[in-house]
Amino acid sequence: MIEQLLIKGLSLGAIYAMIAIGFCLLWQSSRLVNFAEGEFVTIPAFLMVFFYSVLKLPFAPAIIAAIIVSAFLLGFVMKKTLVDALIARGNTPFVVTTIALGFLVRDSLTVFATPEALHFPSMIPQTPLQFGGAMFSSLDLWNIFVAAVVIVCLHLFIRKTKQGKALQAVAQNREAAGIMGIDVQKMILMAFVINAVLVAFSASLAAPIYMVKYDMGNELGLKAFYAAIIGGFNQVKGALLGGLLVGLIEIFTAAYISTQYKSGFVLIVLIAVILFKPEGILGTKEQL
Amino acid sequence: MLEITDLVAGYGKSEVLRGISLEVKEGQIAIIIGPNGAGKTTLFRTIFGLLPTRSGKILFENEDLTKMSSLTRVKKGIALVPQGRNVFPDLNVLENLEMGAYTVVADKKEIQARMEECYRLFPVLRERRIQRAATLSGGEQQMLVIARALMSKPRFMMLDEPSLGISPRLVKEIFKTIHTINQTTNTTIALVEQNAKIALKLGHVGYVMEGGQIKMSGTTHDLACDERVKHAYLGKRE
Repeated sequence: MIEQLLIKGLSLGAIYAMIAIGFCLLWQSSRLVNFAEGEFVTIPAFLMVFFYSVLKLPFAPAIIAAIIVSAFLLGFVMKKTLVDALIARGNTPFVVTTIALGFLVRDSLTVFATPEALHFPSMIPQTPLQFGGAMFSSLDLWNIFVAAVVIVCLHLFIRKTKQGKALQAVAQNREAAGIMGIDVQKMILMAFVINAVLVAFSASLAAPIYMVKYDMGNELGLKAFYAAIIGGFNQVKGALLGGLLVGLIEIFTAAYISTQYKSGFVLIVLIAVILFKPEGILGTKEQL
Repeated sequence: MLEITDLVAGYGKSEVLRGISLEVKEGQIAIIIGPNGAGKTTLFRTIFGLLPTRSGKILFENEDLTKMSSLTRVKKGIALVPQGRNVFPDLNVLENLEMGAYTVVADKKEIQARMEECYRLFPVLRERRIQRAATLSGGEQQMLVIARALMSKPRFMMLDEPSLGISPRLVKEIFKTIHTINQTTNTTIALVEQNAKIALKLGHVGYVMEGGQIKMSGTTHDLACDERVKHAYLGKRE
């Protein structure tokens, strides 16, 4: 039973973790919090349905196309428009604007696409697996696997490449990074593009489970936001831990207490973290 | 090498630099002293392009810098060592140095060679090279910041109070190294310093800055002998 819940929790947590890492990268590079992050998951999910069911592309190319388009729209276009217009004014105007953007995306999808939930197949066939006493779906393992590959690639990129180190430099000391001649704006653009790719991957995992719907991002975005706060908003490893924790808490609460309380328990942990370790479990204190 | 005329700059409504003119010749060490709030740091930030020039000219090797970005200025051979211990705390020493060469060189061998040069100047950095910068002592962090600036092989380097918050013994060592850098690589240096006594010994020319203007200038020897400078900055009274 425990193993089964662990796998299910990690599988759910893997989806949250990728979004939470996106929050964290944006914050580190630009000091902005994107309140439309949930809709940033919804958009690639709709793109996948569009490429697959409307344009009738084969499955894999449809997903890849959705990832590329979302990297362009949610990364490049987002940076060149809203971010460039607002970044000099600090985080608050950006937060308000992205809340509005979220409404705009949800309502536009309802009006111009569909208010119905759309089906999207999973990347691998969904078969029940049994491992000892644990019963789970092949999708659970697949989610953990995809997220692990994506996060390891991201980690290697940030730690080993010159561009990745420059991104860290901007996150750690923006003024000094500028003095080194590192193009801070380019690094912020890179963070937005990486974020867009991360949310697109999480959309590809979430779509078969949650169905593709205009408001599918509400809960995902919110849970990932909690996850980033719980784990530590300014540390990628914190966001990863937070994401996995939130997934586990939800699954274990649903199993042992009640499904209705699963979100409530996450909030209790969130409040406890804010009270006792406001920088998050692995986060570091920041001077504002 | 560097020629500034009637430079005006500031933050928001306040004008911090109110018509600065000064000159640093190739191979020289220029010392800028003055009380807190005189605009010394602002001057460096403006020369480096972190702050826009409102009026006046900054000529670097007869080329006007005022419209160029900081990035272009780095590529022209200008480096700034900012005040305080401006390291990248979670990168190790090696990676910090690598960032110093970020925009200027891509060749790995060249980067390696420059690192070796830095280690020769600051041997302690070699021992610490895989340590996170945050774990270094204050003096070591200051050395790292200077070494990181050297990675771009600047021809003109500005140092903003490298002695701030560092033990007197280390200050001596750092000043000796600055002298070595100037002598061996012919790097032209401008140094802002509170510690006027030791700085004036090091430099060739000096400027006294007060209220956003140059109040006095001359060879460091002349300045060190000047009664007003002695009184205000060297703590000597007749």
